[in-house]
Amino acid sequence: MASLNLILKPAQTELISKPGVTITQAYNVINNSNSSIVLSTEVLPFAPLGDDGSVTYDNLTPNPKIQFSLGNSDLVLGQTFVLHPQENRQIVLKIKSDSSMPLSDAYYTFFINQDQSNKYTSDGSGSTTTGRLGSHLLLSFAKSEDQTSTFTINKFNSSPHLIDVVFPAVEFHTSVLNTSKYYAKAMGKITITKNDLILKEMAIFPHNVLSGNSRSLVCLDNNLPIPCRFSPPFWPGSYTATLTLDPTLGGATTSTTFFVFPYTLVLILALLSLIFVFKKRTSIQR
Amino acid sequence: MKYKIILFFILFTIHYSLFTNTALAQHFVSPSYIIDWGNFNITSGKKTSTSYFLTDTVGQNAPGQYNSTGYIVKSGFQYIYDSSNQFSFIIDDLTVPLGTLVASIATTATNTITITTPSGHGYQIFARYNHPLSLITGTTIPDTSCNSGCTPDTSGIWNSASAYGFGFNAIGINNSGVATGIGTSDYFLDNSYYRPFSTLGQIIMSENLPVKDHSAKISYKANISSIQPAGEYENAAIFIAVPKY
Repeated sequence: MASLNLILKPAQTELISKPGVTITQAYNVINNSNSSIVLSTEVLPFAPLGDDGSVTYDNLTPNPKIQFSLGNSDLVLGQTFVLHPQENRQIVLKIKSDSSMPLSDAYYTFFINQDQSNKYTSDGSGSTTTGRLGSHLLLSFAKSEDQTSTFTINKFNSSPHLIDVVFPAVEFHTSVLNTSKYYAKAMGKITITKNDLILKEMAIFPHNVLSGNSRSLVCLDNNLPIPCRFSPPFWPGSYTATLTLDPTLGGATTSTTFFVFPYTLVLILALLSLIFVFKKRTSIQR
Repeated sequence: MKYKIILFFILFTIHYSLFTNTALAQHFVSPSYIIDWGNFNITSGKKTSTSYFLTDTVGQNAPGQYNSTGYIVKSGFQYIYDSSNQFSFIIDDLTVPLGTLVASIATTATNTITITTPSGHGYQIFARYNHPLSLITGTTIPDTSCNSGCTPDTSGIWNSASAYGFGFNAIGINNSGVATGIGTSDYFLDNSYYRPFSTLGQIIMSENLPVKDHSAKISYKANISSIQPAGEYENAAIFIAVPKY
């Protein structure tokens, strides 16, 4: 049974370059399959899709001012090569930009494609499946490595709206817009206060926000992205959550308030009171 | 003063010549070659026990992680084991045999895709085909429209024996092969939902957070009418995995 088990690293590369400069990026491709596989390379432009880091390749044309080639002496871009079981091959991608390249971003994906020339060979009808693995290239063409980006806050709210003291957690939903011409990492924090007392601070996970695009954000915990949640114990009262973006991103800030009330407790007390009143009335009537 | 300076340089030269050695980490000599290495590892590699997994480098100059604004340098051979930035994709079986197709009796075949993403990245998996299931003569099995309509972008229930065509679905499964819908429920509500392939890639599985060995069972289904010419219909399905940026 032929299978595909392919590793590509790095999964993403973020580069800043002056226009007119050639830069190289090395990739490692590892064949963990139990048989040799035929592969080829390809670079395609991508555009962000939605605000969750998704991408699309539909109807995009490559920028003619950026040329891609391979630095490997025995391989050119698009040429097939064989990777034997457990073989690790380094592919060196050369990125050459024209000196007239506008100062802006360009987003591409470097693909390792399994060769599609194999025909279905079993008896009867059926399909042959093949795989492709991509690694994103976020390219900024600039005159200096210190780019400034400005973010605005699209959305910052909490759910659920009615919060009981026994609720498992309050979740915060955040979206920011990068209004500058270079991608940047989201940096900032969510601070939760009650009666001007800071109860919790949560750092924002440094997701990339591409130029002119929005990104919904999550929080950072042990270098991992996690949903932004504020967990019990809750005390009744009004809470304020403030999202503050890093000063290097313009320092935008916005707040939302949520109110915690012991709805369940009040409901139980009301129910018990009703039962008590009902029982008392029935005993009086007897 | 002049003599003191001359005397100092003479003493310094004598001391340097007699009492210092050339700082070479390793020096190999043969009749034909001299090799000077900047460093020579004493040991390095992977060590495991029931509780720990350790990678190390001993003997290398200045190993470790060095952070500065805009840069992280990971110096040391143990970092070759750093798997936090690798992206892997597995298709367990590259051949999907539908066998001999019989009119109005749906035939299905399955394989499994598995993905692991690097730290900080979710993923997207696109699916497309090179062309519809075709005979060498060019006769094709049409793309499914499901029971009452589905497209490459939208799934629909497909269980009617009179709904003909070729389509597929993807259902997230756990390590035991039990359907969970993780990663796929936005695209296929359950395993009764199908959609046709197209030559443009459509997203069939995605998650926003990093994952390790998340799998989906891909079911390919063909159902032909009695007027469909007999023969061996073939095509290629392509699965494209990319990280979220």
